[in-house]
Amino acid sequence: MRNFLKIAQGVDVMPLLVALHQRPDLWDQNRLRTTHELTPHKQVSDIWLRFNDLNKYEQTGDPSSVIDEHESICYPAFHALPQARQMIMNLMARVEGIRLGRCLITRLMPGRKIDPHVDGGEHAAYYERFHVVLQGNPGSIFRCGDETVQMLTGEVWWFDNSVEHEVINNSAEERLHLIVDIRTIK
Amino acid sequence: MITFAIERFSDVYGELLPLLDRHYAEISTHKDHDVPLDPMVEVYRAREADGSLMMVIGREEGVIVAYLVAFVAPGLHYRSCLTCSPDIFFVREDKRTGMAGIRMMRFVEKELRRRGVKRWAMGSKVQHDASALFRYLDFKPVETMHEKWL
Repeated sequence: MRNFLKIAQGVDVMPLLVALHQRPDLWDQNRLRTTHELTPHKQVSDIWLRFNDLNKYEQTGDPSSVIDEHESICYPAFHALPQARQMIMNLMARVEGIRLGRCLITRLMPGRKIDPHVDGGEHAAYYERFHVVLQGNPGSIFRCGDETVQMLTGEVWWFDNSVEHEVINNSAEERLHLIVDIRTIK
Repeated sequence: MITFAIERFSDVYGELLPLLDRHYAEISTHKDHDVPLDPMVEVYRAREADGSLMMVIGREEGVIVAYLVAFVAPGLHYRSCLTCSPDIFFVREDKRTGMAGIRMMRFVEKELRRRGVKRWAMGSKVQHDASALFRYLDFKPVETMHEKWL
């Protein structure tokens, strides 16, 4: 496969799942990604662990401060979910990361989808994108270009988000992914 | 909504078994000769291991409702011709009224093209004729298979 690479499996995701179950208030505190006019992520819920500093955007109204800015800051959920931090740091070590970008937990309910899109902008070009699958069951389809995979619970994947991609959760369960952007030594 | 994906035999076989039983009961001529369904699982596992087994699974809300199993390898007589040879395909009875079969075959074709397959062969039972489907998908009939029970 050209657009996907499974880099690990058997990750113990249960501690983070338990923590998420105990903190439902963390979902959708930040809705910029899922509510802006052209978003393909309308049917997604987010927890932002690390993301751009939105103060710049709010002060200037310049979307490039979100789309192109490399620097991410820690949001309260990053401190509230040490289980996620451990996974992120393990992933950084595994892929020899040199800079940590955005980190999000996303939820897609059964029967929902993420529309086809390409992740554009300088941020997407600068970082590699990884998915830690916290909950993924057969029927949760991830297409990137002409390739389609099912990302299953406990797996970790790299994928090329510069290629058009879409997700359909045709499984019976919520799809929960920890998305981590890492700059690696290329 | 039915979605299709490539899945691994070893992951999916247990889940697939009830449908295989229904499939056998519907179309097999072996049952008329007291030959039970008894797949050689170890052979499928070996072909999964050598990369020649392709399993396309169609799911609706996570449940398997369709599948196509085939083998992808160079033709025995044509080393340069990567060939997809048929094993079995099935769409659950209650899902045959829509486009599930066509969508599955289109998914398969896309995957085979991606893999560089040159020739894709599919069989159609005389008693369960799917030749209209294959004509619609631009297949050409090239062979009729006969059987004699001894």
